[in-house]
Amino acid sequence: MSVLRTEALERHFGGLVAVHDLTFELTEREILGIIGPNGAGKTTVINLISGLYMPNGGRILLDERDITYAPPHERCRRGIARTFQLVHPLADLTAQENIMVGALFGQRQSLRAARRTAAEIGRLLDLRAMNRPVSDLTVLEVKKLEIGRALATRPKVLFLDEVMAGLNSDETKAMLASVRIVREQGVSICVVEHVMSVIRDLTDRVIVLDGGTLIAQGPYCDVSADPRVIVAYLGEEETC
Amino acid sequence: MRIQRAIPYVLGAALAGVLPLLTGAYLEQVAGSTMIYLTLALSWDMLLRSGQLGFGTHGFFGLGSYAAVLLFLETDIHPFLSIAFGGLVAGAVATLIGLAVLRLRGMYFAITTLALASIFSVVLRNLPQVSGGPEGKMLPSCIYAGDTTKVYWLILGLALLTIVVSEVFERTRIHLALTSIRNDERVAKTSGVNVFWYLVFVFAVTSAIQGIAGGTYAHVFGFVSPEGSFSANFLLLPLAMALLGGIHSTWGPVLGGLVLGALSEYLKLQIPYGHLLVYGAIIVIVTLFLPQGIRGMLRAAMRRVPSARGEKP
Repeated sequence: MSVLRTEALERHFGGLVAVHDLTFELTEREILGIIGPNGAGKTTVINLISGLYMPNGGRILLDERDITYAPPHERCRRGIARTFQLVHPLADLTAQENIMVGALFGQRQSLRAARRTAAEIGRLLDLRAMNRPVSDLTVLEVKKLEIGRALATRPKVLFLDEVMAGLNSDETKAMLASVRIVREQGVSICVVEHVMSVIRDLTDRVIVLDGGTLIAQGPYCDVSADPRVIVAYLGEEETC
Repeated sequence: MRIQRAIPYVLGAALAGVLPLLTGAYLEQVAGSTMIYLTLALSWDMLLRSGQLGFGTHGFFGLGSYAAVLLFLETDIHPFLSIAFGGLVAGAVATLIGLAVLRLRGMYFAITTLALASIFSVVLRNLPQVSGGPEGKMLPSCIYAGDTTKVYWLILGLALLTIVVSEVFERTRIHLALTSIRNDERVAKTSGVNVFWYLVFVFAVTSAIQGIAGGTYAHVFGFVSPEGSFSANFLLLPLAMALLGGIHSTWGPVLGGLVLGALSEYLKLQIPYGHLLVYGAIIVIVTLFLPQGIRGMLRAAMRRVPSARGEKP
């Protein structure tokens, strides 16, 4: 049963085709990877689905309801959450308040309930120092905070845009653990990632984009042996 | 705990309330005009908390002045109701304008709002049947027949009301909505904040406050005119007050308003013809060396003295 589905999604920037005829789906509790070379349209897909860009054609369906042209805050309330490739913590708020924003506006909770939600999510993701300003947080903590804020909207689908970038191997392990915890909450997750070991360990299935077009999909081990994927992105066959 | 926290506010309000018993008419007038500017400073800052730099303060102030005076002259309604009407008109006009221009950001929004005062004043100047044209309109008498103590209390009420609204903005979900919009609009949107609705709401509320301040001012001085009511002073002095005190808070603009209000009056007496120069110099120096304002400076000092926050060193 698909939670999120796109049909022939299309987006151009002037003459540049960023996403072309993209049809894919995300099923319940699935972790889907989106991979592809720089400029393949991965982040554009997230921007289209989260509503920051409007598509030039095609449809986006969440639980079979059309959200193709819904404004971003509306999509968030219906269950689409995301993080950003360059981390964007809300700098004038504490860690706790950052998470509260998601609960207050994504779930329409009261201040009191949102405070409780933030504390719960802080415990879940092992985020300490919830009362400190975000400028005091480490890179790992800021990235967890982004996930926490997204999780506080109680999403059905969560998009993670390169959450592993800039983390060392220990931090990456901690982050992987956090992502799995999120999945256990019943959330379907879509990760854009360049670290192939993460994709291999984390995802149930991947889709490969090149020049805005879907060129392959399936379990990572199958896809990584696909000659088209090797030519377009991987360069050499990855061992599985 | 809650009661203890309220004590300083109650004391402050009470002190401000009994001030007329301790001073004369002159100081009452100075305090009154200071508080009008302080109200504008606070409302300007409230919009700034959403990240939008608005320069429409004097426009909505003048609009509120005119609306209050014209309604009062036409209908002989109670002055308070005409002042409220001034706020209503300013808020309604801001809502309509906001629906159009709040799609703009940064410099574009700032410049558009800056034009509003000129537009309003030109329109009113050219509608002599309604607005009295270039001469404006006089009231038969000022509110409370010019009793400075009652006028002081009226303006104090306005200032306290604005402080309460500002604190509501700071203590409810509005605070998190506006701060998230200011810090990163894309994050706010994708976290469920209806950014456009919040911006229209804040623009309407702050403009209504400016309209109420304008209506009050017009009743206190008994006239409106295209030049006087839309004077850029009603933009620049409040802006300087908020910057001096410290932006993005209730107490920054209040503090800056009190300091700058007193200081400008003192300078006016000392250097009758050059006080605006000194005043300008103060603003430049503060912006250069105290970018967080007085409030930021005090907070930094508090952090250096851990015991001041009740923590063990």
